[in-house]
Amino acid sequence: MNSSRRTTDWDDEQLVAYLDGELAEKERSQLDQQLTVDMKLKHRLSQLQKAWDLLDVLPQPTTNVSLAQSTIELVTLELLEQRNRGLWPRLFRQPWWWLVALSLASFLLGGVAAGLFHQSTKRQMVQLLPVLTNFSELSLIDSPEWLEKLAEIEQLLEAGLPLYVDNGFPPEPSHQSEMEPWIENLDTYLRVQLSENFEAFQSMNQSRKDSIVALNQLIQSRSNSDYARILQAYSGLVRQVGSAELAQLDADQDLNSRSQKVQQVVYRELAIGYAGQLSEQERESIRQWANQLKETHFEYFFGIEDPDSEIILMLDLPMASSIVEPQEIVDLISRISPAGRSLLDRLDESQQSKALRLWVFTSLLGSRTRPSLTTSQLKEVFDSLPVERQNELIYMSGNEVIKTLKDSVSSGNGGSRTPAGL
Amino acid sequence: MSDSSRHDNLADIDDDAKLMLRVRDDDAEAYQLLMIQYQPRLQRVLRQLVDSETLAEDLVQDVFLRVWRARKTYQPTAKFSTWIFHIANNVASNAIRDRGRKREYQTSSGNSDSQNAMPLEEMAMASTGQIPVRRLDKAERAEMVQVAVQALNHRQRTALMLSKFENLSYQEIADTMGLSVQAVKSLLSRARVNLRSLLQPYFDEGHLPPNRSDE
Repeated sequence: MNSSRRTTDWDDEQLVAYLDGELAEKERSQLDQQLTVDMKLKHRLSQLQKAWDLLDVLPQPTTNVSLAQSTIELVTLELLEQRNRGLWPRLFRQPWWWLVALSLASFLLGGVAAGLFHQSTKRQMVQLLPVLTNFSELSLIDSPEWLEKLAEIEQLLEAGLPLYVDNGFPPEPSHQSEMEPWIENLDTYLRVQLSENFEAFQSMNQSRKDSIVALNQLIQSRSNSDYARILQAYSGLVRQVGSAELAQLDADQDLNSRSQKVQQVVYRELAIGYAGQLSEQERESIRQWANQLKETHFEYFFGIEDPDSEIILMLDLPMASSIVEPQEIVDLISRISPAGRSLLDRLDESQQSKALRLWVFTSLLGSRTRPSLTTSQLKEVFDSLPVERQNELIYMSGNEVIKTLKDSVSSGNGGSRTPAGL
Repeated sequence: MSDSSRHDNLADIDDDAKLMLRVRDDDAEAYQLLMIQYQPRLQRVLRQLVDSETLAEDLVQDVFLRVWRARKTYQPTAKFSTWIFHIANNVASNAIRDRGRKREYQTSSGNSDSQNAMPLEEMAMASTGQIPVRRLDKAERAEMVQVAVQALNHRQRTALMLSKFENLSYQEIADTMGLSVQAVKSLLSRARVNLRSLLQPYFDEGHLPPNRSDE
């Protein structure tokens, strides 16, 4: 026979869980039984339900067409910015009215009727087809010597190939007679891209044109595909670093100096990629580091809604402005695997702190586990206190707050019991 | 960098996550469909979190832009709604933090655009029976509920909105807010108890304390 619980044995948290269908089977069954005979309990439940039902009077939003439109405009602007850097992304599979508008504008500006190329243009394109289909990559290299220098950069393939976005062109036919039909069969967006590549190539001076053609021949003539892969990896890396950094690289005429900068970029990208490769052990160790930091600097973190984000912000500040001590950074680094530490060692100081910040970010904000029991318990106790009491505690010293909250836990006055009314 | 080609069996993935996988592959139509579906829902939740219609609109846009920028690294490890509302929660938290941390119950008059806002103090007094009440019209009723919701702290409001309007389970709310299930239970319990306390005088008759303009 089930034992009957008195009204006061059911706290508000259990009643709310019951209404939400989140109460355990056994408890739900007990509560069901009690509700048949306990009018006071039934009334409590009914009051909670009525307040819940009143939320239905809140306004029902509708789709905001202008908001959707302006969001799409912002996304398109981002795509256009990528396009202006010569980094046209993988094209959309479905027609999209903004991109259709863009491609129509390109056709008009390029003097190409929708879907058609002038005969003489087509013949020139056929002659240059291997250059045009790889133009976005080839145009990044200003000389065969630079391509050979890139081949010497450590781990370029490892860092750059995952970032490479295929230009989307299908393999070109080997026979010239098949090339015109091949061009005709390209979809709209690839034909636009081919046309733009052609226009860009035509606008170059003869010396640059010759250089690009020579580069393409160099890559095609190699029996292995290393140079092709190096080109792709470099293209991926450039796509990642952005136009400003690219301009800085291009401006540096000394190949050795340029090569060193690219090497740093490679190490940086590997460090960024390492965020996704952190082992669970490393992440857990970093989380423990963060919890220790929170406890060591309790007064600072107390009351902050999102202490983990605060820690990440702290890692971005200069050492003098941050509460994170140098020794705590040393401790953090010691928790990274030798492979990760090796990556850090190869970075300059500013890049090291960015890499660390990213790894901490990945470990803390990607975590689904609870924070340390101590911090979690104290926060729950604090949240359960009446507002007036919370405000009193805020003005106490950190040690007094910790003592007060821990006393609450040991005396059983904290936890899930909710304060009555306001 | 995560391998974008590695994802779960499509049969196990909810429909919205499948749309997002298409967005990951630069499918514009899928992105638009997600916007159509989620814009009103995000608007409703964010409106209650930040207590401003215009700010909520800005934040909705911020959420969708973040969805777009994160598309290449998207992995359907949870329901799509959990993921997008997790983003929304972060965006709202940042916006609120920028406005300044609030540790006390708000005593604002609710929607700043409102002409006849119901002050929290009057509602609190009404709940004690200290002042008489009058019948509410529909708009006033909505206003009253709005004020009561704004009286809750940020986390209580978030949990409440996700539970009420998104029908998320406690586990899903915990995943969205980065909390434990027990913390979510506590939040929802306190939120609903506080709502009950504030709204009790208006349950049956829809009565409201005298409008200040009547005095």
